[in-house]
Amino acid sequence: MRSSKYITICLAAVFATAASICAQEPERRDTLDTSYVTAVKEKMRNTTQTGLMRLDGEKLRGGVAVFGTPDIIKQLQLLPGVAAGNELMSGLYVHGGDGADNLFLLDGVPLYNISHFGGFFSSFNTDVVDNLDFYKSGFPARYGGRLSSVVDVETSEGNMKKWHGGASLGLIDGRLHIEGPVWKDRTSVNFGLRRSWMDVITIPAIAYANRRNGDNTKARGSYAMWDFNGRITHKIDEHNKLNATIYWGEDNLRAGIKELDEDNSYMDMGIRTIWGTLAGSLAWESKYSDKLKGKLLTYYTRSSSDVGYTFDINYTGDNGTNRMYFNDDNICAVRDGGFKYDLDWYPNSSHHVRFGAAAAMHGYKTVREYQQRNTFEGLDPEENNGGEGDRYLSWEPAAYIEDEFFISYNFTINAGLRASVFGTKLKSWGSLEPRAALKWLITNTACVKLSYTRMSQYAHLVSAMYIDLPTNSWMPSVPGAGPMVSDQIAGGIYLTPGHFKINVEGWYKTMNGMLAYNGANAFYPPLVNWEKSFTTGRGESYGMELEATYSEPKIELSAYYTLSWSWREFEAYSMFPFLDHNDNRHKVNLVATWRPNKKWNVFANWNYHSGNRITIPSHVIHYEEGSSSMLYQAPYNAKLPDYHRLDIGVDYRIFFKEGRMLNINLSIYNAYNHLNASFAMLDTDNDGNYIGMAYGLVPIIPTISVGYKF
Amino acid sequence: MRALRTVLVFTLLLLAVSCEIPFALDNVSEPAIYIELIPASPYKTAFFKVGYAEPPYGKPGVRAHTPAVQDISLSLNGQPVQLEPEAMVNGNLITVVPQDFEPVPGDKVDISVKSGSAPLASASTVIPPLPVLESVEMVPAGEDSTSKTAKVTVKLAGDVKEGEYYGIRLLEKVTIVTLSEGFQTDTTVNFEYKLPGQVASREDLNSLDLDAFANVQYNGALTDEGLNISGPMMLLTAKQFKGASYSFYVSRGSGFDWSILFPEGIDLPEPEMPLGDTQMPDIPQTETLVLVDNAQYVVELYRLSEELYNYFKAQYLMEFNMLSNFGVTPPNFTYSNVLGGLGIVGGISGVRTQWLELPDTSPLSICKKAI
Repeated sequence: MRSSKYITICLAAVFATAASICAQEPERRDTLDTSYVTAVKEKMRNTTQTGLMRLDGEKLRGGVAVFGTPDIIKQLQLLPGVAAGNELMSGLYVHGGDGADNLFLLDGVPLYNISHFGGFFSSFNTDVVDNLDFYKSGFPARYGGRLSSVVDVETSEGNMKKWHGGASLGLIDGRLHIEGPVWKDRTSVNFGLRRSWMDVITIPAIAYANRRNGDNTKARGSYAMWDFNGRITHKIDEHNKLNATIYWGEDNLRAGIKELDEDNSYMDMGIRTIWGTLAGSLAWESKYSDKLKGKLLTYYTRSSSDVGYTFDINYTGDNGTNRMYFNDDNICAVRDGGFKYDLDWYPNSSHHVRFGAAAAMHGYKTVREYQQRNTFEGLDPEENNGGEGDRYLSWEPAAYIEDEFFISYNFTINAGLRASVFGTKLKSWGSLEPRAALKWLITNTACVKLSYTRMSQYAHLVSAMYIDLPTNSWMPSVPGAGPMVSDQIAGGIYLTPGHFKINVEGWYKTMNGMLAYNGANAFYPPLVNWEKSFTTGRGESYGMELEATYSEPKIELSAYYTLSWSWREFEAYSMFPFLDHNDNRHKVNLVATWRPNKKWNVFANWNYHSGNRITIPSHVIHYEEGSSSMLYQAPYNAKLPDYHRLDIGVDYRIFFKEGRMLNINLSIYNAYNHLNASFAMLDTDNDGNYIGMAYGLVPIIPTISVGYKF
Repeated sequence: MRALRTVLVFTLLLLAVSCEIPFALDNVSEPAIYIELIPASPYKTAFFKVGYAEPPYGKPGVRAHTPAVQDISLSLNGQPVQLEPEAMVNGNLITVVPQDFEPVPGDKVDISVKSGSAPLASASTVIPPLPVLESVEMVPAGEDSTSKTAKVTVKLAGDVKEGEYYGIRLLEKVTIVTLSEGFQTDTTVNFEYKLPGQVASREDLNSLDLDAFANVQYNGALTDEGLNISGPMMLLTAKQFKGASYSFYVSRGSGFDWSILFPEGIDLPEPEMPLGDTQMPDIPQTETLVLVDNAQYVVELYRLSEELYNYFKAQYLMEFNMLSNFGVTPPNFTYSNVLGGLGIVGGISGVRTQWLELPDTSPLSICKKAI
């Protein structure tokens, strides 16, 4: 474990040295794209932090669209240092994180649930997204509350001059988007709406099947997801601006079966699941002077789910009607209300000081309610209603200060400190989190950066599975399951020779107070006293990332490589450290985009990573008479076959007058139909030898979507 | 819940039928020694097991090597423990009997085994301190149409601290009296370990929380009767105690267990009375009648070493958390604390109560009325 860490650091150093030798100022080429390249260089030079990727809305809307829907999380999964977890899911395991330690901000409002349909789609509608900052290390002091990454998504303000919009239809969903001035140059709106339309097909299809079936058994089922983004921007004057934003998204799954007899006896079983997120904010941005500006944000965010099932039997006996009815509801919700006040102060040309305060009230709730009514002929009805649940109210004030100190043209330091307190009626915790980043500009095309960050996380995702389920809930730190804390150092060299951008970055991260589920309720993690079923431990992750990009207006080629280790130490699982489920030793992503002309946009990406780790029997003891028993020496003791797939796609655009455009997108996920292993078991072959057998679930998925923009 | 899991498992298997991907197991493991030693106090540790475990890439059922008693070194507080020279052999596993091996709380037990081509396997454990019971209360906690329930509260002498692990077993004693023509002709006593809290209340019957009932089979013995029968042990961490107390439920059906109530060989009609009815059914007159006396209970409280708790919990999860092998939940596996090998070397100590009587749950009175 330790030796591999040193190998990583040495490799990073070798890469960095080699890269710096190559980092000569290139001969300036007078081409049309000089400004583009210069902009990229400027952006790189201006950023002191390590581990930061900035993606603009256009980039997020491009690329392969699985099921016809561009997906922010799936684009982030391609980046180095990020493991995706289970295929097609919205897993984001950053630098060895556990997937529930990423801070998702939508216009500054924290979101707890960022996916639809069990993780197949992320909640972010790319139509309304303006840009995204993705931090994997070097977190500025203004961010806090999660260990492993920050995904800061900003929606567009809406066009202040003209109305624009669009509509598109994909394999799974349809989207509408409109933006424009309500009051020219003063007030604009930007709205986006998505809705799946599978239920439009499935409901009539099931009804047809029921009619065709002809018997007394009727099935029902539907699934729908939708989300709405809205933003209103109003410029009060030259120095003041108001923003109001809202995000509202929901998933709704219903299924059941009813069996009806001729004497009106029936049996009805059904499940219903509703889960979603509501988030709203009001922000006031002010420029108090040339040296001081501020932003006051108030927000409310709520993620909730209701999973219920009903069982109803009604039958007629000799003396009357008998009925047995049972209904069960499991409700989970987390609600935040809070404010943030961020100030930017430029005391002189050498300092950019950011400071601010935030406070939030968190409400956590898990409730199970049930109703049982039994009526038997000749007997008094029996009624049994009840429930159980946990409710927590917590408060979390925080303050921070960070200073971007331009020591000289070549040296910049971003040093900061974040202080936070988290309290419930049970216990309170506090945290001081130092943050520091250093940038040394070696030449105009090469710089070196180093960073150290400490992060704390007070909220825990109570989940028994690696996929997003509505039965998952968020809970606060409690005695026995306190806050998680991470420390991370990162450093690298960043080069921009000509059209190239080459980054080599290494990191070492420890995570303490991590939680892992140690129970048997796969679908239903405990609703009450959740901490009893979790065990605490620590994690360690280290590795290096290589990012090489060649950019010009018509073509962009990117290659990402990650070499990483991700360890866990949970004494309840093993006395010894073990590799994590998402320990992908090698990860390679090759991304190509070609824009031969205005009409065509061709893109492809190839993804490879070492297989996820699984737990299978490691040993067998043979007994007399041929029997045997299987034993496991350690968790995650085997590696699935390596993962690879190719996604390709093409955009064809037809332009009309006045900027209107029809965009036809054809995307093929897993173009060469390589079934990648999702899980595995021990099996025997025809000769009776034990073999590992993995099972792949996701084949080639071609999709087409059509969009119209005006 | 089991049905739900079964449905999911079959669904996943169906999906997987056409997309199997074989892969090599060569790097999963090397041959290793398996040790299963659970030294206990205050009673004698009768035996332990040592096996030769192979990586699972050979043919099933092919025996490679069997350890011998001479390969084993067992010590108590640094002093060697003699082992019976003959061990019971079952394939690659042997059952070894130590001589005069009666550790007490605080004693350190070390074991090492070197056998065959497997590397040296070693492990140690310390016998945990005896739990100190302050009180055990058993009070009525409700009754419904099918059962009567009592709440049992076990209170320790001091608050349970983080890092302490416990186990609780509940031994039920039922006295069966056989009457023949009005005279007592036979009395038998049945002992059975019950799972505490398994039928806590109607509320819990609906519960999907399998973690509340984490338990394993354990065959230690603490009863006066010198029983050595296997029974379920509830597994507890400090998180499940409220300060120094832990409560669970014990429940007895208020209907009759017909197989016990009437001896074999007597031809009886199927009872038509709904379960829980307090009226005696129309029983044909027989010469022999069997009465089931009020149940009595012993609460056994164990203190487990951390490694033994982890091992037992892993055993429980192996049975119930099948989904982990599908890569969608955290792993389950046989916990091991054996360095260079696998298995468990974990200490346990325990205390027991006197016989406690479950209040007012005996069907004996009903039977008496019928007589």
